[in-house]
Amino acid sequence: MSVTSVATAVCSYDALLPERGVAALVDGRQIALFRTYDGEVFALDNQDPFSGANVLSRGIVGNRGDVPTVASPMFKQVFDLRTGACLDDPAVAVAAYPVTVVDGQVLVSLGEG
Amino acid sequence: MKVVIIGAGMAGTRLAELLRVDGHTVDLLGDEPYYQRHRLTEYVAGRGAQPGADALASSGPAISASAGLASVAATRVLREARVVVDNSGQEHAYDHLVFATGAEPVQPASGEVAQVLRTAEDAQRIVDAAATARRVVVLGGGILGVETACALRERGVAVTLVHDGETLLNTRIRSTAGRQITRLVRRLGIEVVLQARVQVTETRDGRFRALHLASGQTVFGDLLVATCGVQPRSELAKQAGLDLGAAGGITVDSSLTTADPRVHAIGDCAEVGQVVSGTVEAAWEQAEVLADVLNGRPARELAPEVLRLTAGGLDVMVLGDRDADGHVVRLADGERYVRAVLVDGVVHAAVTVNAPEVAAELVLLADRRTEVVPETLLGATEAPKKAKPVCRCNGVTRAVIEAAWKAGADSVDGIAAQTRATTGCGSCTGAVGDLLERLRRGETEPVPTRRATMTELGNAKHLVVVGGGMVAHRLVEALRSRDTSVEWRITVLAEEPRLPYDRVALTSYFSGRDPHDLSLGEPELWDDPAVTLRKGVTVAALDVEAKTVRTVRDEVIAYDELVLATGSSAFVPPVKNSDAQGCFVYRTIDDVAALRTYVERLRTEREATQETPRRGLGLGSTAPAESRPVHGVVVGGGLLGLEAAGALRALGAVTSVVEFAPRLMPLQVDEGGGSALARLIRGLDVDVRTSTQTTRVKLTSQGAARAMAVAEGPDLPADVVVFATGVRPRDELARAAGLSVGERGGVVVDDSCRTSVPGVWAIGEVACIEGRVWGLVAPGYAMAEIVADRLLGGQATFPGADSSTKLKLLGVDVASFGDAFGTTEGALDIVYADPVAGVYKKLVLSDDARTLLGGILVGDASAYAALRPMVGRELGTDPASYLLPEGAQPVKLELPDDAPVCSCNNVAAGAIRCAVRDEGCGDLKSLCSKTKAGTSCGSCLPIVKNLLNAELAAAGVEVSKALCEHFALSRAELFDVVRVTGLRTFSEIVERHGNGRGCDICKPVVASILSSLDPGGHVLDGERATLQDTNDHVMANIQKDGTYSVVPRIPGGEVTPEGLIAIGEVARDFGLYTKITGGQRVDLFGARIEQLPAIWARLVEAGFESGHAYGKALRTVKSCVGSTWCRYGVQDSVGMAIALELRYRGLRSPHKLKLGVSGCARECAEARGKDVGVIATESGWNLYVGGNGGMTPRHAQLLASDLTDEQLLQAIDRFLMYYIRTGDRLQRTAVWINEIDGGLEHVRDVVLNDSLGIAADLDAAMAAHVDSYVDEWRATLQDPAKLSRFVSFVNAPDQPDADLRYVVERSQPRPATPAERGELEPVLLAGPRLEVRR
Repeated sequence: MSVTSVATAVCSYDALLPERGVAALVDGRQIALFRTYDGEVFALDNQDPFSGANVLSRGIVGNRGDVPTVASPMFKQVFDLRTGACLDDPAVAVAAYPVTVVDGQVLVSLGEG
Repeated sequence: MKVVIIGAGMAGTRLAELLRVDGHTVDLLGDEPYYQRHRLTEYVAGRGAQPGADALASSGPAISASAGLASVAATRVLREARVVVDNSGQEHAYDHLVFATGAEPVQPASGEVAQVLRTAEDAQRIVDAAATARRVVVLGGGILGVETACALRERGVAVTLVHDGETLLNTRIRSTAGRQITRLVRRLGIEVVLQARVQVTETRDGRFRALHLASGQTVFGDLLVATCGVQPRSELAKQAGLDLGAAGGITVDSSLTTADPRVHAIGDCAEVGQVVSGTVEAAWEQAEVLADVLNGRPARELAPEVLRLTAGGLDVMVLGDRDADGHVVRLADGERYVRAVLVDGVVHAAVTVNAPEVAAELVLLADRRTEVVPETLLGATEAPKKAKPVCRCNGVTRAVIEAAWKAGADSVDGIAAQTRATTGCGSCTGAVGDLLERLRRGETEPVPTRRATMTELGNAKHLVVVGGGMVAHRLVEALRSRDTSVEWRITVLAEEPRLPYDRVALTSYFSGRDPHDLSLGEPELWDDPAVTLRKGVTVAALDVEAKTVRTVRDEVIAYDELVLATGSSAFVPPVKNSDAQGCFVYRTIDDVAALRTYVERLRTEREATQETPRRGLGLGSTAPAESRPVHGVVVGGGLLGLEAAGALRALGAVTSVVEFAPRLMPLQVDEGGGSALARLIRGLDVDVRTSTQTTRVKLTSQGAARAMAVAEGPDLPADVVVFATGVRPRDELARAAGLSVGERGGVVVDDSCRTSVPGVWAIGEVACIEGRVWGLVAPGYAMAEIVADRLLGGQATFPGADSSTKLKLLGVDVASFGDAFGTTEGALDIVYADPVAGVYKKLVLSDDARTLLGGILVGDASAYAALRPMVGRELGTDPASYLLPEGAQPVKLELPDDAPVCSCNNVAAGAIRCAVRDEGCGDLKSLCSKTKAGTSCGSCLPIVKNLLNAELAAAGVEVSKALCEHFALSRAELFDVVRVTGLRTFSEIVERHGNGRGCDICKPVVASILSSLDPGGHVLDGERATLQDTNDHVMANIQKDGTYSVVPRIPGGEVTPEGLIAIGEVARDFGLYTKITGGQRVDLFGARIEQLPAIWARLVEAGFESGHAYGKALRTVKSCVGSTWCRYGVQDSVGMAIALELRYRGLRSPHKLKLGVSGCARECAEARGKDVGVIATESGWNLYVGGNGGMTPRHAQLLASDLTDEQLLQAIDRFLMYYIRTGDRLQRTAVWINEIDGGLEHVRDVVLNDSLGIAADLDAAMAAHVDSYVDEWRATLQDPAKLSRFVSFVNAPDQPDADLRYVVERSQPRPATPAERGELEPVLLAGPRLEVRR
C-alpha cells in the first residue's frame, strides 16, 4: 500500500513562538506544534497519554541531553519532540508527525494515520 | 468446698478455673458449649477464626476438665437442701451456688426475622447471610451494635446502623464523645440513622426487607441484625425464690452475693447496683472477685467497668460511669478524643476514641489507682506514627520510591514514571524532591525489622524480661534487630505504666520537656508482634524450677529464658522522718512529677497567703510581706544530687546541697575539682555544704518537712528534702528465688551475664559483674548487647566498663574519665586551674608523661570528646596544650580506628569512618542512626561530626545541590549569580552558567528568580514567557481535563456583597463550577484557555485582580474577623491581613506562600499553620514563621513578640526576602528554616539583628516589589500580543476542545468520569453552560 501523505497547512511559521507550543486542528485531530530555540518545528499529538487531557502543547520546551523535549504540564512526564517517545516511561509514546515549513507556512502530514 | 456453677459461659468457666486452682470441687453445669464470645465480632469482621468449640483445647486444661458436664443443664434449685437438680435428674449438692446463667439477646418486638449475635452459630449465620446481602441493617447502636456494624463493614458489606438514641453509645458515654464516634462510624462508610423509632418491620417471602421509622423514613436492607441489648436469664433463680432487680438480673451486693449467703451470681445474669454489665471483661472481673470472696480472701472493690471496642479501624474505650463527677481532663484533636474524670487524682471514668495508647494507660492507672497530676495525664499522648504514603493520591510509600531510586530513577519525573508518585494532585512533588535529595545524600531510614509471622511466633522461644528501663529497652532493640529468623518472642514486664524512657535525661522534665519526649527509641519497636510490652506489671516471684514468673496479680507467665533488668531503687539513708511529707527521692518520672507538683503547690499556697490582706489583728507591720520562699535541701552531692539541685532550683526553690564527703561528686572528681565545682555551683545561688552529716528531718505540726537538722551547726530550712544518696540494686526477686547475690547486693553474673541459675540472666544496675554493680547506663547497655548476642548463640563477653562521665550539671560542665584519681603506679598529674574563670582541669599521665591515663575537667569540658578516646594511648603532643583555654581546638587528633568514640554504645572511630566511606552515610543524622554513635548521652557528637567531615573531605564527596542537568548550581546559588551578574534572560543565564536549553525544573526556577530581581516585568514578557509553567503562563490553575480554574484575589477574605454577586454572575455566565477555597476566597473551575481573557475582563471590571492561586507565590492572607466585630479580638486582624496581602501580592518565591493573621490568642485564622503567622497580643503582634498544612503539617515557631505594625512589616519583609533568596526549589519555609545553617536562631538574627548586614538590601528588594506591582490579568488584557496566546487552536482560535465532557452534580458541572464519557453524546455543552463573550 502506497503511502499518500497529504500535508496540511496549519499556520504561519511566525505564529510559533520559540520554545513554546500551540495546539492546532488538523483534519479534526488535535496536534501540538513546537518551535525549538534553534528554529526547528515538531508536531506531536496534543493529548497527554497520562491524563487524557489535550494539553501537551502547553508544556515547557527544553532538552534532555541531545533530545529536544516537552514536559507535559499535567504530571510532568517528558516527551521526545522528534519521536513522541516518553523519556520517563519507555512503554508510552505519543504520535509524532512530519512537519515542513514551506514559504513561511507550517505544513503537517498526518500520514496514513 | 463444693461449688456448683450454673452456666458454662465465660463467667462460669472463668470462676471454675479459678476455684479449681485453689483446690475446690466444682460442678459446672452448662447447656451450651464454651466459646470466646468477645471473639465473635472479630470473626464477623473476617479477622479471626470461628471461635467454636475447638477454642477450648487451646484455652488451658482447667477448661477442658469441665467439658464432661457441658451438656448438662440445671433444672431446679433446692436451696433448703442445698442441691441443684439437672436435666438427667442427678442431684448436685453444694456449699456455695453460683448463677452464671448469662443473658439472652433482646429481640425487637416485631422482629422475628431479626438475627441476633450471641453465639458462635449466630455469628456463622450472619456471616453466611452477609455474603449475599446487599445491605445489612443493624438495629441498636450500643457497643455490640457499633462493633457489629463496623465488623460487617470491614467485610465490605454495606451497612445501615439504626439507633434510638441521640448519638451512638449514648447510654454509655456523653454526647460529645458520642458525636465523635458517630462521625467516625460514618467515616467508615456506615450509614447511621439516629433517634429512630421502628414502627413496622417489613418482610417479603419471610425475609427482612425494610424498617419503617416513626419519622417516615424507610431503611431498606436484606439482613436485619438486632443488637438491642440483653435480658438476664434469671428464671431458675426466680423459681428458687431469689430477688430480681429492676433490669431483671439477680440482685447481688458488691461481694456478688444474694440475700442467701450461699448463693451468688456473676456475669450477665447478675445485677449489681441496678446495673447489668453485659461485657466479658466485667464478667471476668466479677469471677475473680467472687473467687476471692469464696476463698475468704479480702474481696477487692470491683474495678470500674471497662468497655473496649475495636473494629474496622475504630478504637473506643469506655471506663466507668458516664456521669462520674470530678476533675475533667480532655483532649480532642480531630482524630482522637480523650476525656478522663479524676477524683482525688485517681482516674475514675474515661472515654477514649482512636487513642489506644492513652486507653491502655488510663485503664492501668485506674486499675492501680495511681494518683496522677491532671495536667500531665494527657501530656504523654502523641499520635501514633504510621507509615504514611508520600504520594497520597496513588498511595506510593517512601519504600516504593526508595526502590525506584535504587533501580535508577534519579529525578522526580523518573520516580513519577516508575511509581506514579506526584502524578495525582502533584502536591507531593516537593516531598518527593526532598526525599530524592535525602536518598542522593545517602540518608536512609532504618528498614523496619521484618514483622514476624504467626507461625514464626508460634515456634519462637519465649524470653521474659523483668523490668522496663533503659537497659531492657536496649536488650529488646538489640535482639529484635539481630533476630531475623524470629527465634525469640519477648515479653517485657515493666513496673512503670509507660514506655521505657531516658532516665539519664530526667532533669530535662523540668525545663518544660514533654515527659513523652524522654521515651527511648522508635515507638514502632513496641508494635512488633514479636514484642509484648506490659506496662504496669509488677513481678512478685520467680520460680526458676518451673521456669515461670508470677505477677502481683497472680498471673503466671512461663519463660524459656529470663532476664532480670529490674534496675535499682533509690537508697534513703537512716535519717529520722525521711518518709515524711515533703521528702522525695529522685529516680523515676513519677518521683520527679511528684516533686514538681509538691513544690509548685507550696509556692502557689504561699503566694496566695501573701495576697490575702492581713486585717483586724492590729499588730505588726501593714506592709505586704514578701511571700516566704520554698526551701529545698538535697541530701547527697553526687551526680544525682546535683541533678536534683538543678531541678529544685528550676522550680524556684532556695536550694542547698548537703554532702557527707569532703567534696562534691566524690566518686568522679578529686579535691581540686570538687572545690572548683563547689565554687561554680555556689555562684548559681545553690548553697553547698560538704563534710556535713544530716541527722533528722524536723516536721511541722501537720507532719510535713520543715527543716533538716545536721550534726554540727544550725538547722537548714527545708520545705522539701530530696534524698539522692545513691541506689541499691533491686535484687529481691533474685534473692527470694535463691540466686547468688553479691556481698553488697546485686545478682552475681559471669562475664556473659548469666546468673547462678541456668536460664536466668541479669543486666544493668541489678547485675553484679566482676564483683561490682555499675550505676551507669553504658555498662548496662553493654550487658544488654551481650545477652542479645548470647541468646542468638554468640560468644560475647563483658569487655569491662568505662566509668567515664561527662555531664552538664546546673549548666556546669563536669567530666571525669579513665584513671581520674591517678591510682596507677607512677602516674603523673598535669593540672591547670583558674579559680577566677572557674576552671579546673587535670590530666593523669603515665610515668613517662606520654600516655594518657585519665583526667578530670570541671568548668570547661570541651576537650573531653577529643581526650577520652585517647585514654591508654600516647598523646603525641605537649599534654598541656589540651588544658589551656584555647588548647582544645588547635590540636588535630588523628584517632586510631580502634579508639572508642561513643562509649555509651561502644562505637569505635573505625566503625564511624567505615559507615561514611562504605555505607554511604553522608550526614550526621544518618551516620548516628547507622552506627548508634552519639545517640545516648550525645557527648561524642562533636567528634563524630569531625570524623564525618574529615572522611567526606577525604573521599572528595561534595553533596550535589545541582538543580537539574542544565545547572550545577542550587537555586540559592543561581539566585546570587543572577543578582550579581545582572543577567536578565534565560538564554544569557544558561549560556554563562549552565548548558542546554533548560527543562521544566530549571526554567520555572529562573522565571521565579527573574521576577524577584526584576519585579516590574510581566510573566509573558519576551523570553520569560517560555519559562513559565502552564499555570503561570495562562495565569490560572490547570485541572484534570486541561481546563483551568480562576481565583480572583479577595484580600484577607473580606468581600462586598457586590463583589460576591459579580463573581457569582461570572461563574453563572461561563458555566463554571464554584467552590470556596481554604484560603477564604472563591475558585471558579472549568474555564477553557480561550475563555480566560473574557472571564478576567469581567472580574477586573468588577474591581478584582489576579489572586495568584497558580503561582509559587503569595497565595492568601487568611484572617479571623478580629477586634472590629469579635468580642474577644484585641487587634484589627482583617485590616492587617489586607495590608499584608496587598503588600506581598504577586511576590514569587521558591514555593507557595501562605500567611494568616489572628486577632487574639484563640487563633481562629489558624495562622500558625502558615508560612508567616501573625497573632495579635494586647500590645501588638506576635510573629510566627515556618508553618504549613498539607502532607507534613508544621506549626509555625515564634520569631518575635509584641511588634508594632511597622516592626511587623519590616520583619516579614526581611523574612520573606531572605527566604526567596536562599530557599531551595519547592522548599517551603518550614524545611528551609530547618535546613539553613543555624536554623531559626540564625533566621531571627538575620531578620531582627541584621547579623549578615543584608537587611537594607532585603528591605530595598521588598520595596521594589511593592512599588512595581501591577495586576497580571489587567496587563495581559491591555496587550494584544499577550492576548493572542489565549486561543484553543492556532488555526481555530475560538473552537472549544471537543473532548471535554461534563455532567451535572449537585446543580453544578463537573468533568465526566471515564465511565460516564462513554455514555455521553459528543456534545460539549452539558448542564448549565452558557457562553458569553464580550
